[in-house]
Amino acid sequence: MIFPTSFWPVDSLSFFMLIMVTMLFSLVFVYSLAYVKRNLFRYYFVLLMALLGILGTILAKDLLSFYICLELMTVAVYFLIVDNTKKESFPAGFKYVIMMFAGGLFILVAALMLYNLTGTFEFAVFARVAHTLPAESIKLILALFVIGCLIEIGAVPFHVWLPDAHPIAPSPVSALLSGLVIKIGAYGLIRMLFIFKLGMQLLIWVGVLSMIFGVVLAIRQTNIKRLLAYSSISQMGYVLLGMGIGTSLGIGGGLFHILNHATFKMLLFLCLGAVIYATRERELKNLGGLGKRMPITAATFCIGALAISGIPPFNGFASKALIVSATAGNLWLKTALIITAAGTTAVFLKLFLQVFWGELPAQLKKTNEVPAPMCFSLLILAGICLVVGLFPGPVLNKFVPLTGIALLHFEFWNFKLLVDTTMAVFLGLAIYFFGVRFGLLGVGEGRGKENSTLLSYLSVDKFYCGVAALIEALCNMLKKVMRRSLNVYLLWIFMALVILLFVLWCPLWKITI
Amino acid sequence: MVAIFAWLASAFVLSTTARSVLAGQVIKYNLGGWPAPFGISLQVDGLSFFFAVLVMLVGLLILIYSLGIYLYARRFYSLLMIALSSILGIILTRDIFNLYVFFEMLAVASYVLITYKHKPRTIIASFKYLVMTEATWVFFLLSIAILYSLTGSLNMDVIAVQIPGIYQANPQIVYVVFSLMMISFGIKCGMFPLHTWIPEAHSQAPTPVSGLLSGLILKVGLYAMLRIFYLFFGATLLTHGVGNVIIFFGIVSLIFASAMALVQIEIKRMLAYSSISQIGFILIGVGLGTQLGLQGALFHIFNHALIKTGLFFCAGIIISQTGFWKIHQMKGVWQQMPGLTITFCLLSLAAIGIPPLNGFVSKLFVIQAVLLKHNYLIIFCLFLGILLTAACYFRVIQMFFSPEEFHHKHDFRPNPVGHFEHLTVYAFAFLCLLIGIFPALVINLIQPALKVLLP
Repeated sequence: MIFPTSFWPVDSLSFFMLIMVTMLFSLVFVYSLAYVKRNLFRYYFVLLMALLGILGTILAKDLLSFYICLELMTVAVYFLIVDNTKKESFPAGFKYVIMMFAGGLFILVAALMLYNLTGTFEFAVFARVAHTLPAESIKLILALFVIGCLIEIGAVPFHVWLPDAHPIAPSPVSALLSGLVIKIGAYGLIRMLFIFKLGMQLLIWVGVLSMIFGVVLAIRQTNIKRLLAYSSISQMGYVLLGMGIGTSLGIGGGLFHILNHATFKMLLFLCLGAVIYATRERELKNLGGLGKRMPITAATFCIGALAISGIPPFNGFASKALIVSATAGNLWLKTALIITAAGTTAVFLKLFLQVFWGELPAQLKKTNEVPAPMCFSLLILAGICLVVGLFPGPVLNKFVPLTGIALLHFEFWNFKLLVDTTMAVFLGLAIYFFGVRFGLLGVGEGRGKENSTLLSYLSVDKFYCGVAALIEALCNMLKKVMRRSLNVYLLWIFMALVILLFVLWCPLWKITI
Repeated sequence: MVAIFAWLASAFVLSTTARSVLAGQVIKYNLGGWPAPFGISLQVDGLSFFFAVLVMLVGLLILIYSLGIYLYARRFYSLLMIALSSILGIILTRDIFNLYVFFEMLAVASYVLITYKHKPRTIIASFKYLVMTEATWVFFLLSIAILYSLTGSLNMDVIAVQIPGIYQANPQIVYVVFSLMMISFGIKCGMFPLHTWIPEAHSQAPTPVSGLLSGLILKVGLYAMLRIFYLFFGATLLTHGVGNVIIFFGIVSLIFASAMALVQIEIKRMLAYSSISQIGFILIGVGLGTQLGLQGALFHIFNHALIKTGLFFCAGIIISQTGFWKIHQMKGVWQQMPGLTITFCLLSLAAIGIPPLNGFVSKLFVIQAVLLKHNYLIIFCLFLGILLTAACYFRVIQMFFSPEEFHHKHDFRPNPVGHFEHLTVYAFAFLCLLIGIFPALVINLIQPALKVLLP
């Protein structure tokens, strides 16, 4: 038996992803020209391999090719994450690669189970025979697949690799991770859910949890890139929420948010990458007042921050408007959305004020604007944010697939939506000022300790690290138990023989396994 | 040079049989002209041919690797050739006592090969190997004696015909024979409770011999297991669920050995434990006994021989260049030997089973075969095993890329590493990639072997 793999079905969904990936990837390339100075051969080799993997997942005609390209991407991105080869980059990369392999295995098992049901891996055939398959096994398969994709996306509670990997990677790579790599899981999810026409309650829960969790954790961070990483978790929550609702408004909003999040999060990462490039500082307390020294970076960062906070006329507003409308008056979901939007506003207000506003520290007096290739990428991305935000309707109808009636005639400049947005912004401002007043944001003076211990109980990371440490301790114990002595070895042999005979003579083996 | 000529001659002989064997025919040769039940006969069928190709391929690369090392003199090559020829003998013979003799020949040659460096630790390791193997091969002799007394013949075909009758009359005696054989083949292939010689011997042997041990000698144990179990017990025991016992041993080997590999300090010991866990993977496929499971097992035998021999050679070059044995000392190897590091990464990704490398294809077959049995416990164990394997290889890879300045061991003079060694290692990586992209190359070899196993 040989499993064939096949590529190139450019339908509207892969076309959409393809445009996004190629556009954003080329900007990362341009940015890297100025940013990366060492190990050029290795860096560009693995960067191109990552591109190959990402394009492969998007163009895959069947689930097996999807998995193969996913693993290719995982390995390439691992080497990108550890590109700095600093001491702390290896644990982060290790966590990333092991979790990704675990996710990949879930997807592989789901793929093989589908193969056993249908005799093929092809998406097109799945869509044709979807209604004839037994519902029970489909549910199991989809559950496995969804878990795999959630690990790839970095949704709560599988997010632990994300805040470790982002800060340690070189900035273009962090942009790539947040902008494209975590979108691949979402792409796979949409493909499969669309084939089996199942909206999932589970995804709504995971989405809401990710939104709130991500933003709560982001507020307190002081490492600028870590903060953005947590914010990515919260933004992917929007996408998952949209998919979980499963109406055309929800899925369309989710897809649109994939595009928008990719652009503005990439913009933000690249801006902060420019700050790090110019100042070599990553901690908020050492930064400040860079607005005058780096005007282009500051202006583009401002656009990105407005976009992610969902303020019109930038693109974040458009997709968030779709998702809010998709909740169709469900009060709980709407409250969660508004709280997250407010939190995001507060987070980025804090980030902007701390980095670009205020007094310039003495050691940063000689900071200059970054080189032209980096500015070019920033300006293009900011331009995309603005253009998509100004003309959301045409962009949505041209590029985002699965356009239903509700999407075609969606009114973006709706009074109710604007009221919601204003409410979120004011709430965000309130959170920011109260936060600064009571020292909850990790900046300024105030009590930090109690809050951080409070938050550490929320940390899922501890659980994962605990499991890993437990496994290692068990292995070490095993190593100690196994004595290196010939007598013991011979004893093992005879014991094995006796046990084998015993098992075979008593018909135990008929019931075991 | 003589060794290479010998290899070429046997390759020529093998290639003459290729066409008819791949077409599904069986070639027999009676030694001394005595017909089958009386004399010893050699036979090339699909299964033998598959293993013979593997042995010739890996054997050639081992020879080329050792050519460049001035340390190895005439004695080394003659022992190596004895080992290779006895492996071929095991693969071709149709007489069960002759099988025993070839196994002993192989064992004696490998004892001496392991101690080739004449250091106290190598002699201890080799002694352990010797005592353990001989202790278990007495069991094999015993099982041959039982079979001879029951059937009056040593020819495999004759015994195979009579076993179902014996099983009907007295199943217990068949169980005893099966257990004795399982233990004796298990020690050759490194099944869980019998694996203990492997880490010691692999880590102490000279590098080409580690490659030989892991690449070929373990596989010969698997060959004997496949050949004899499916020939003798295929219709009786294996169809009655004894395959589950093999699967159980496979699972335990997989989990236990990958857990041990995770905490090893020396790189060669780590690779040796990883070999055991891969053997566990193969045993799961063998125990399933389905078309797909056996295909995965045979494919994984082929892949693992290439991958692990390549990894041992990489490790050997790194050790001879730096003088370090331990993983945590191997920092900054990337700066010193980038080509070798990339090769190591490629081979270890193949060992984890990452597409598009060859390890992926065989693991896919085994997982699929297990899924078809709807056994989710085994799937979970496979999951765990693969993740632990990934963890132990990435532990090494991240050490290679670590930033610390590369430095030699104190007052250590690196051995010059020639082109032959590098060539071999690259050849292994190339083969892994090639088979991963075109798995049909090996699958065409496996099909006749499957026809032999599952007629």
